[in-house]
Amino acid sequence: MIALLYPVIIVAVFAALTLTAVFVPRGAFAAKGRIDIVVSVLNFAAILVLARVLIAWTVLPPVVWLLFVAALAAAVVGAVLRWNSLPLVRTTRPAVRSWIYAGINVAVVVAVLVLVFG
Amino acid sequence: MTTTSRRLPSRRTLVAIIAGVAVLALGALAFPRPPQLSTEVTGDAALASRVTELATTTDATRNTLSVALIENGRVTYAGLGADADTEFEIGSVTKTFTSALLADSIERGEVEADTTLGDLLDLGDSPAAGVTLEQLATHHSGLPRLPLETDVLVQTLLSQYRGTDPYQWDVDQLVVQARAAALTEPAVFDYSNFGVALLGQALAAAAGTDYATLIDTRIVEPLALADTSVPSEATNLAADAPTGFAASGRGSDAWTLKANAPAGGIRSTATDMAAYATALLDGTAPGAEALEPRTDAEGLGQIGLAWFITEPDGEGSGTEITWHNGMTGGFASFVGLDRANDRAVVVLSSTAVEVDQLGFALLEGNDK
Repeated sequence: MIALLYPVIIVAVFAALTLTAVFVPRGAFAAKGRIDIVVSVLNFAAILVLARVLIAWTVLPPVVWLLFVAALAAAVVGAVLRWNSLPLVRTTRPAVRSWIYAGINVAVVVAVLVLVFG
Repeated sequence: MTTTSRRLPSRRTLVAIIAGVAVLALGALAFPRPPQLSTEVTGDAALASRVTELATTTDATRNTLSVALIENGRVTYAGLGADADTEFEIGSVTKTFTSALLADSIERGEVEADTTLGDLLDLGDSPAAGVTLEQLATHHSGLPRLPLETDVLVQTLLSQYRGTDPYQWDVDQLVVQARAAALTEPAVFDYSNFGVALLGQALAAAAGTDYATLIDTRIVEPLALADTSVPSEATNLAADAPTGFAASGRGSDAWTLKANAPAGGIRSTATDMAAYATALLDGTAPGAEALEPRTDAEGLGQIGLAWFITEPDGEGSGTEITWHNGMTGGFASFVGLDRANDRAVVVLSSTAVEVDQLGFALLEGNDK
């Protein structure tokens, strides 16, 4: 039973990280550029897609899914609202590094989704 | 200017709300809909009612169930969305067939309990060569649950995500994996699919045939199990071969397991499994000696050749249940024998969620 909760915990961690990135203006986990926000929301969305096929919905109440989706919706709302207040990339490091990090992140997400669903 | 600065936030808020609602709508469309237990009853109405009651009070939903209850040689069937002749994957209950082959092969004088794997398979001087057949059947071989090789682990993980059969290795590859395997502590119980797969292939080698043929000639035919088979390859399945659902509710491919078939590759029906259980109870099944306890199974009571012997009411309670369960990507199973009271139960499910609790409750005649 405990093992069945691991995917739920992982989703919850991603939800917390994403909501922090979007709604908390300062701190280590705060988004400091639009690219940060896009990557964070994308990661959470990808984790939800995986959770949809991995979590034991025959055991866990499917209504939990709606909580996850509500968290993603909140993150998207927050991302749109913060969009104009953020620079495209964070200003505390070279822009090229932000683009490289984002590119690697997106590539990993796409690769995982292709492996699972391809 | 003032008007513009008021409008911009409004438009952004509107976009934010629309985006949020779109995500909610997509999420609602993707709402998980796990299979629900069928209300279509077959067989004995009273047993079906009891199964429904037990299945709906346990903490999981299921799709179809087929159950056989054997009492003093009389078999009662009940099905929910399935009947006594519906085919299921029995998963690791296959290990009891493989262990029956071992007991039978010992009776025939083909092998002995302490015959080593190296005597039957080309394992060179690898650690696995010294493992005995009894150690394999009692999960005391020191072999890991699965070969600890990168391709095996990746394939197993990916298959879990993709709902496909993870076991894609032929006998030669299985032997290569065995040659490379390191052993842990052979004296310790450690459940190993890898070990039982090797056991089945070693017994087939000793008999000069393949595993599927050995099961056919030594168990299926003598017990007249008309709908029991070892497909071994997906291409050997009928086009309409049933498939089941993963615990997530996602449809799963059929598992045939190739060289790992001795660990979980048999498909059968409640009718055939009831005949098998009946023959085990009356001692007429080939290799029925496999039921006898041989050693400890670390927290699960004792173990015979693959069969677990447990006192579900606590040690010393006097009620011993001899049992094995099974699970594949889309099915779950349980076979339990109360040998002292000449009772047995078979539970087959088309959802990969454990049915042990249901099986034990039916066997004990209560809701525990």
